[in-house]
Amino acid sequence: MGLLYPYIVAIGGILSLMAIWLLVQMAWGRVFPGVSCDVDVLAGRPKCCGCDRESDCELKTIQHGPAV
Amino acid sequence: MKSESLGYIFINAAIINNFVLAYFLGICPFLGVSGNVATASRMGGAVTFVMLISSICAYGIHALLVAIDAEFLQLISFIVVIASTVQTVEMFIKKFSPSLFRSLGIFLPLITTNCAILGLALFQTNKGYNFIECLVYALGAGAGFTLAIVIMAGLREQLDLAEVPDMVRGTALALMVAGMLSLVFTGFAGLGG
Repeated sequence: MGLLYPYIVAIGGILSLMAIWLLVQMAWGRVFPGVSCDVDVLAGRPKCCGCDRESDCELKTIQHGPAV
Repeated sequence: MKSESLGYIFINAAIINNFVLAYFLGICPFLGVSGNVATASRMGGAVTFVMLISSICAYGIHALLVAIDAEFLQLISFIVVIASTVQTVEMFIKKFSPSLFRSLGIFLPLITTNCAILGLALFQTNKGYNFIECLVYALGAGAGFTLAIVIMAGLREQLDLAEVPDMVRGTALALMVAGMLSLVFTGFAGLGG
Protein backbone atom coordinates (compact mmCIF):
# COMPACT_ATOMS: atom_id res chain seq x y z
CA MET A 1 0.00 0.00 0.00
CA GLY A 2 2.93 2.31 0.76
CA LEU A 3 4.16 2.30 -2.82
CA LEU A 4 0.70 2.40 -4.33
CA TYR A 5 -0.46 5.34 -2.24
CA PRO A 6 1.16 8.09 -4.37
CA TYR A 7 -0.27 6.55 -7.55
CA ILE A 8 -3.77 6.34 -6.10
CA VAL A 9 -3.53 9.90 -4.80
CA ALA A 10 -2.18 11.16 -8.13
CA ILE A 11 -4.92 9.47 -10.17
CA GLY A 12 -7.62 10.57 -7.74
CA GLY A 13 -6.22 14.10 -7.63
CA ILE A 14 -6.01 14.50 -11.39
CA LEU A 15 -9.51 13.05 -11.86
CA SER A 16 -10.81 15.49 -9.22
CA LEU A 17 -9.12 18.39 -10.97
CA MET A 18 -10.65 17.30 -14.29
CA ALA A 19 -14.07 17.09 -12.67
CA ILE A 20 -13.69 20.57 -11.14
CA TRP A 21 -12.56 21.96 -14.47
CA LEU A 22 -15.50 20.38 -16.34
CA LEU A 23 -18.01 21.65 -13.78
CA VAL A 24 -16.65 25.19 -14.01
CA GLN A 25 -16.67 25.10 -17.81
CA MET A 26 -20.28 23.85 -17.84
CA ALA A 27 -21.28 26.67 -15.52
CA TRP A 28 -19.32 29.04 -17.72
CA GLY A 29 -21.27 27.86 -20.76
CA ARG A 30 -24.54 28.67 -18.96
CA VAL A 31 -23.41 32.16 -17.87
CA PHE A 32 -21.96 33.05 -21.27
CA PRO A 33 -24.40 31.25 -23.59
CA GLY A 34 -23.31 33.13 -26.71
CA VAL A 35 -19.78 31.73 -26.61
CA SER A 36 -19.28 28.42 -28.40
CA CYS A 37 -17.16 25.70 -26.79
CA ASP A 38 -14.98 25.60 -29.89
CA VAL A 39 -13.79 29.19 -29.80
CA ASP A 40 -11.33 30.99 -27.58
CA VAL A 41 -12.70 31.80 -24.14
CA LEU A 42 -11.95 35.46 -24.81
CA ALA A 43 -14.19 35.52 -27.88
CA GLY A 44 -17.37 37.54 -27.50
CA ARG A 45 -16.05 39.39 -24.48
CA PRO A 46 -16.53 43.10 -23.91
CA LYS A 47 -14.51 45.28 -26.23
CA CYS A 48 -11.21 47.07 -25.68
CA CYS A 49 -12.24 49.31 -22.81
CA GLY A 50 -14.57 46.84 -21.15
CA CYS A 51 -17.75 48.26 -22.68
CA ASP A 52 -20.18 46.68 -25.12
CA ARG A 53 -19.86 49.47 -27.68
CA GLU A 54 -19.65 48.07 -31.21
CA SER A 55 -18.60 51.26 -33.00
CA ASP A 56 -15.21 52.95 -32.74
CA CYS A 57 -14.56 55.35 -29.90
CA GLU A 58 -11.80 57.77 -28.92
CA LEU A 59 -10.37 55.40 -26.29
CA LYS A 60 -9.95 52.64 -28.85
CA THR A 61 -8.10 55.05 -31.10
CA ILE A 62 -5.79 56.04 -28.25
CA GLN A 63 -5.00 52.46 -27.28
CA HIS A 64 -4.69 50.78 -30.63
CA GLY A 65 -3.94 53.58 -33.03
CA PRO A 66 -6.33 54.89 -35.68
CA ALA A 67 -9.06 52.48 -36.73
CA VAL A 68 -8.56 51.01 -40.20
CA MET B 1 12.99 30.33 8.87
CA LYS B 2 13.50 34.04 9.44
CA SER B 3 10.32 35.73 10.62
CA GLU B 4 9.26 38.76 8.57
CA SER B 5 6.96 41.55 9.65
CA LEU B 6 3.84 42.18 7.57
CA GLY B 7 5.13 45.62 6.61
CA TYR B 8 8.39 44.15 5.35
CA ILE B 9 6.54 41.47 3.37
CA PHE B 10 4.44 44.17 1.71
CA ILE B 11 7.39 46.46 0.89
CA ASN B 12 9.44 43.49 -0.26
CA ALA B 13 6.75 42.31 -2.71
CA ALA B 14 5.84 45.80 -3.89
CA ILE B 15 9.22 47.47 -4.29
CA ILE B 16 12.34 45.51 -3.40
CA ASN B 17 11.42 42.35 -5.30
CA ASN B 18 8.85 43.87 -7.62
CA PHE B 19 7.30 41.09 -9.71
CA VAL B 20 7.65 42.98 -12.98
CA LEU B 21 10.86 44.92 -12.57
CA ALA B 22 12.90 42.51 -10.44
CA TYR B 23 11.54 39.06 -11.33
CA PHE B 24 10.37 39.97 -14.87
CA LEU B 25 7.02 38.24 -14.36
CA GLY B 26 3.87 39.65 -15.95
CA ILE B 27 5.80 41.42 -18.70
CA CYS B 28 3.07 40.74 -21.28
CA PRO B 29 0.36 42.92 -19.67
CA PHE B 30 3.07 45.33 -18.47
CA LEU B 31 4.05 46.13 -22.05
CA GLY B 32 0.69 45.49 -23.69
CA VAL B 33 -1.61 47.53 -21.45
CA SER B 34 0.63 50.45 -20.52
CA GLY B 35 -0.47 52.77 -23.31
CA ASN B 36 -2.30 55.17 -21.02
CA VAL B 37 -2.55 55.69 -17.28
CA ALA B 38 -6.31 55.12 -16.95
CA THR B 39 -6.21 51.67 -18.56
CA ALA B 40 -3.00 50.78 -16.75
CA SER B 41 -4.47 51.56 -13.35
CA ARG B 42 -7.54 49.42 -14.13
CA MET B 43 -5.25 46.61 -15.19
CA GLY B 44 -3.33 47.02 -11.94
CA GLY B 45 -6.55 46.77 -9.95
CA ALA B 46 -7.58 43.64 -11.81
CA VAL B 47 -4.15 42.04 -11.26
CA THR B 48 -4.29 42.80 -7.54
CA PHE B 49 -7.77 41.27 -7.37
CA VAL B 50 -6.68 38.07 -9.15
CA MET B 51 -3.52 37.87 -7.04
CA LEU B 52 -5.56 37.99 -3.85
CA ILE B 53 -7.84 35.19 -5.07
CA SER B 54 -4.84 33.15 -6.25
CA SER B 55 -3.09 33.60 -2.94
CA ILE B 56 -6.08 32.32 -0.99
CA CYS B 57 -6.47 29.36 -3.38
CA ALA B 58 -2.76 28.52 -3.25
CA TYR B 59 -2.73 28.59 0.54
CA GLY B 60 -5.74 26.24 0.71
CA ILE B 61 -4.38 23.88 -1.95
CA HIS B 62 -0.98 23.68 -0.28
CA ALA B 63 -2.52 22.91 3.12
CA LEU B 64 -4.70 20.19 1.57
CA LEU B 65 -1.85 18.61 -0.40
CA VAL B 66 0.42 18.56 2.65
CA ALA B 67 -2.36 16.91 4.65
CA ILE B 68 -2.76 14.09 2.12
CA ASP B 69 0.97 13.88 1.42
CA ALA B 70 0.58 14.76 -2.26
CA GLU B 71 2.76 17.82 -2.72
CA PHE B 72 3.85 16.56 -6.14
CA LEU B 73 0.42 17.63 -7.42
CA GLN B 74 1.08 21.24 -6.39
CA LEU B 75 1.85 22.76 -9.78
CA ILE B 76 -1.04 21.25 -11.75
CA SER B 77 -3.41 21.95 -8.86
CA PHE B 78 -2.38 25.60 -8.71
CA ILE B 79 -2.98 26.06 -12.42
CA VAL B 80 -6.37 24.37 -12.57
CA VAL B 81 -7.79 25.61 -9.29
CA ILE B 82 -6.67 29.23 -9.73
CA ALA B 83 -8.06 29.38 -13.27
CA SER B 84 -11.33 27.72 -12.21
CA THR B 85 -11.72 29.96 -9.18
CA VAL B 86 -11.13 33.15 -11.14
CA GLN B 87 -13.65 32.00 -13.75
CA THR B 88 -16.17 31.24 -11.01
CA VAL B 89 -15.58 34.60 -9.34
CA GLU B 90 -16.02 36.32 -12.66
CA MET B 91 -19.35 34.55 -13.18
CA PHE B 92 -20.50 35.77 -9.77
CA ILE B 93 -19.32 39.30 -10.55
CA LYS B 94 -21.22 39.26 -13.83
CA LYS B 95 -24.36 38.19 -12.02
CA PHE B 96 -24.18 40.40 -8.93
CA SER B 97 -22.15 43.42 -10.02
CA PRO B 98 -22.43 44.11 -13.76
CA SER B 99 -20.69 47.47 -13.34
CA LEU B 100 -17.60 45.84 -11.79
CA PHE B 101 -17.73 43.18 -14.51
CA ARG B 102 -17.69 45.87 -17.19
CA SER B 103 -14.91 47.68 -15.37
CA LEU B 104 -12.66 44.61 -15.21
CA GLY B 105 -13.62 43.77 -18.78
CA ILE B 106 -11.25 41.59 -20.73
CA PHE B 107 -8.47 41.92 -18.16
CA LEU B 108 -9.64 39.27 -15.71
CA PRO B 109 -9.40 36.20 -17.99
CA LEU B 110 -6.19 37.54 -19.52
CA ILE B 111 -4.49 37.80 -16.15
CA THR B 112 -5.59 34.39 -14.90
CA THR B 113 -3.05 32.55 -17.01
CA ASN B 114 -0.26 35.04 -16.42
CA CYS B 115 3.06 33.81 -15.05
CA ALA B 116 2.97 36.42 -12.27
CA ILE B 117 -0.07 34.69 -10.80
CA LEU B 118 1.57 31.26 -10.78
CA GLY B 119 4.80 32.86 -9.55
CA LEU B 120 2.97 34.39 -6.60
CA ALA B 121 1.45 31.03 -5.66
CA LEU B 122 4.82 29.26 -5.83
CA PHE B 123 6.78 32.00 -4.02
CA GLN B 124 4.40 32.23 -1.10
CA THR B 125 4.42 28.45 -0.73
CA ASN B 126 8.22 28.27 -0.84
CA LYS B 127 8.52 31.08 1.70
CA GLY B 128 6.20 29.19 4.08
CA TYR B 129 3.94 32.17 4.79
CA ASN B 130 0.86 31.83 6.98
CA PHE B 131 -2.57 32.92 5.75
CA ILE B 132 -2.31 36.60 6.74
CA GLU B 133 1.23 36.83 5.39
CA CYS B 134 0.02 35.32 2.11
CA LEU B 135 -2.69 37.97 1.81
CA VAL B 136 -0.21 40.78 2.54
CA TYR B 137 2.25 39.30 0.06
CA ALA B 138 -0.45 39.18 -2.63
CA LEU B 139 -1.50 42.76 -1.88
CA GLY B 140 2.11 43.89 -2.04
CA ALA B 141 2.71 42.07 -5.31
CA GLY B 142 -0.45 43.59 -6.79
CA ALA B 143 0.48 47.06 -5.55
CA GLY B 144 3.98 46.63 -7.01
CA PHE B 145 2.54 45.58 -10.35
CA THR B 146 0.16 48.55 -10.32
CA LEU B 147 2.99 50.92 -9.41
CA ALA B 148 5.20 49.61 -12.20
CA ILE B 149 2.53 49.65 -14.90
CA VAL B 150 1.24 53.12 -13.95
CA ILE B 151 4.79 54.58 -13.97
CA MET B 152 5.39 52.91 -17.33
CA ALA B 153 2.09 54.24 -18.73
CA GLY B 154 2.90 57.77 -17.53
CA LEU B 155 6.30 57.64 -19.18
CA ARG B 156 4.88 56.27 -22.42
CA GLU B 157 2.21 58.99 -22.50
CA GLN B 158 4.95 61.60 -22.20
CA LEU B 159 7.15 59.84 -24.76
CA ASP B 160 4.32 59.93 -27.30
CA LEU B 161 4.72 63.70 -27.28
CA ALA B 162 8.52 63.68 -27.29
CA GLU B 163 10.73 63.87 -30.33
CA VAL B 164 12.45 60.51 -30.64
CA PRO B 165 14.07 58.89 -33.68
CA ASP B 166 11.63 56.88 -35.76
CA MET B 167 13.71 53.72 -35.47
CA VAL B 168 13.15 53.47 -31.69
CA ARG B 169 9.57 54.72 -31.57
CA GLY B 170 7.08 52.14 -30.31
CA THR B 171 8.09 48.74 -28.95
CA ALA B 172 11.85 49.41 -28.97
CA LEU B 173 11.43 52.54 -26.87
CA ALA B 174 9.01 50.77 -24.53
CA LEU B 175 11.56 48.01 -23.93
CA MET B 176 14.33 50.53 -23.29
CA VAL B 177 12.16 52.41 -20.80
CA ALA B 178 11.24 49.12 -19.10
CA GLY B 179 14.92 48.25 -18.80
CA MET B 180 15.75 51.63 -17.27
CA LEU B 181 12.84 51.32 -14.84
CA SER B 182 14.15 47.92 -13.83
CA LEU B 183 17.61 49.40 -13.23
CA VAL B 184 16.05 52.11 -11.09
CA PHE B 185 14.27 49.52 -8.97
CA THR B 186 17.52 47.62 -8.35
CA GLY B 187 18.40 50.63 -6.18
CA PHE B 188 15.93 49.30 -3.62
CA ALA B 189 17.84 46.02 -3.26
CA GLY B 190 18.88 45.39 0.32
CA LEU B 191 16.28 47.78 1.72
CA GLY B 192 15.12 46.52 5.13
CA GLY B 193 18.19 44.34 5.71
